[in-house]
Amino acid sequence: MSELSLDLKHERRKSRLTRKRPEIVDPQGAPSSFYRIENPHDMVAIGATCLEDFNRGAQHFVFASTNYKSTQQRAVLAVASYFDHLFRIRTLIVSDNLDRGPFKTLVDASAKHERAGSRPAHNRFYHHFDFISLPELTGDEASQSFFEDYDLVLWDPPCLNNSAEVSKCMGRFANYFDSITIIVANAAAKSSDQRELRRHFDGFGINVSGIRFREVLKVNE
Amino acid sequence: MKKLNYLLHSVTVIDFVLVAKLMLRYRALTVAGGALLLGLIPYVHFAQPLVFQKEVYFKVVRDESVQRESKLLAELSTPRNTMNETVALVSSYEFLGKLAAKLVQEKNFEALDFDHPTMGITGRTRELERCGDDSCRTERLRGLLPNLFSLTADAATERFTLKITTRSKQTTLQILQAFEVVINEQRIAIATEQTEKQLTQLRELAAKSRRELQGKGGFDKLASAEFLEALITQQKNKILSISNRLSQGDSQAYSQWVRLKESDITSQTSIEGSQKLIYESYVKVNKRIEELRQNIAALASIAPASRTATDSLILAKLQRELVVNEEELAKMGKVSRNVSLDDSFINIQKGNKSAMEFDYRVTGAKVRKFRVQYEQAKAELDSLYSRKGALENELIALKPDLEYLKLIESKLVALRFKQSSISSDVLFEPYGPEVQSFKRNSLAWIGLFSFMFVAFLLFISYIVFYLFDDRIFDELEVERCLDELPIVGHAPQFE
Repeated sequence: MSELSLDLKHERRKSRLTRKRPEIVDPQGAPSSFYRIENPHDMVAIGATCLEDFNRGAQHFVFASTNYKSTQQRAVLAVASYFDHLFRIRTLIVSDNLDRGPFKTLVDASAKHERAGSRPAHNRFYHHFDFISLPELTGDEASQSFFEDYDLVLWDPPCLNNSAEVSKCMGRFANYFDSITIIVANAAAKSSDQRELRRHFDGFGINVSGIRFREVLKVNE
Repeated sequence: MKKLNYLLHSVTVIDFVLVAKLMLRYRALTVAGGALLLGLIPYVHFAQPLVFQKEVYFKVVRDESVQRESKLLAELSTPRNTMNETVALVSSYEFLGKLAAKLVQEKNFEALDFDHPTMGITGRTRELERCGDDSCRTERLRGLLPNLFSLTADAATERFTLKITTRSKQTTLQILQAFEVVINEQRIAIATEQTEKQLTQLRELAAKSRRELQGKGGFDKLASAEFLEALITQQKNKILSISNRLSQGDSQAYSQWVRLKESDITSQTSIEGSQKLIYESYVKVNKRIEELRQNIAALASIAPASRTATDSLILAKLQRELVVNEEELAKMGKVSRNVSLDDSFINIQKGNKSAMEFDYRVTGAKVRKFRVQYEQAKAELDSLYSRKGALENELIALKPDLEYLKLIESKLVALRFKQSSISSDVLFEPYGPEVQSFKRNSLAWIGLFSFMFVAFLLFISYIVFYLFDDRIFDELEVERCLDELPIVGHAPQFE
């Protein structure tokens, strides 16, 4: 039964992507830039990997780490920008911390959309991507219908050292995740933490073999 | 365990690439290792003591004079290997004890340094310092001495090399002196003991041989032979004496016979009257010439100036008379003096003839007696020779035993002589290198050793740090940590 539902989900997303071919349109009144990336080739590499998964029907991409929140957000922004640069698709960024880090500038510049019925409150950064705070999502059908409005959902979950928040997040949204990218800090991350992280996903019943793990080496946090 | 496997390499055993990475990863450790190396080299170099070493060569001269004489002593003595024997002697407990005792008796013993040349003060050195009496010092020093000298034997040259190494020049020299004294004493003691042993064995052999000869009557026969020999000698002397006397008697008898015969012939001859007168005239003229010459000489001694006319006339007259007499004597020719003597001689022979006949008869009787004695003595000598021959035949059967005993006794004499003149067979060579002082390990060697030590220490430290370090440093470790998951790239950086 579950295999059947997965296949249906995949076909639906694939048809949606083919329906929306890339159309580069400059948003009216948007600032020229907020950030300049130092290593665009790495951004392209990460984005290309995600695009490959996206083309196979993946919609929800998670960027997780043990304690590197800023890097998580930068990775999410890089992938979102990559997709935004190539396609005209609707992208949602889900984060538990929108008022700090790299997201804050963009969220501040975004238009706020209040809760309307079952639709949760969220921020729209011009026509590029939307931001939504994790607590706004309930994980029920309302969230499901909300996700249906987006082609790409990028997750910035709580850091995995915050076990209570992570458990809450994983408990509600684990079944949405299509791809998980793990961020490892050079000379700071511990292998035991990474293994713990792996066990963590296993503990929530996520089919690890069916989910693609990607590491992003972080040089400077 | 998984990390330990990463350190291993299928070809080089150790994954040196990983080790090189670890060197860069733990830079503080590498720098500390370098600092340790820089500190260790001068510390070890200056901490090691100055060592004083002296090499001396000596030989053990084999005394094979006794053995060369016969194989008997060689059979009696245990086969000896001088090289092994000397090495065993020097390393023996007794030798070390005597050497220690000799050193303890030195006046400046307290000033000597018996510390180990390389290890320095050891537990035994401290025990020696705590000793209160000489016996304790000797006992402790005995244990220390093997560290201070070594003896190597060169079989090709049969030469020993004694190497004494201490931390003091004075100690090195005094140990050498004491060594020379003690090894000489020991070698003499060994030689004395061996000679005593050989003497005892030879005495036992001689006694046994004597008993056997006694049982066969060998000594009685020897005594008889010697007695016979003495008798023969005596008899020979007697015969010689008789022979001499017989010869003299024969000669005397012959002489007397000849005299008697000549006397008979002489007594039958007579001298004619003319010959007798001529001789008397010859004597008379001769006498006158003698007188004239004396007178002429007396007058001629007077100087011609002081002579009187009478003197000159007398002198002339005497000279004329002398000429006349000399002419007369010349006319007589050669006149035999025997003519005057023969007459008296014949008369004497006629008177002595009876006495000569008596002497000749006496001498003849003596000669006959000597001849009888001579014959008897000769017969006795023959008898003695006969007895001696029989005895010698018996002694021939005993000859091997006798020769054996004689040999043993001659060796006994030789050994007694040797015993009284035993001296050390150790010969120290007078030349050799002087006392050398040096530090045991050169700076280069210390540097190499220290480098290897620090490298090993660092290697172990790297491994320990690596095994206990849970951090992730590179992509390879990420892959290994997360079951070979691929690396996407580096996290984006914003300007």
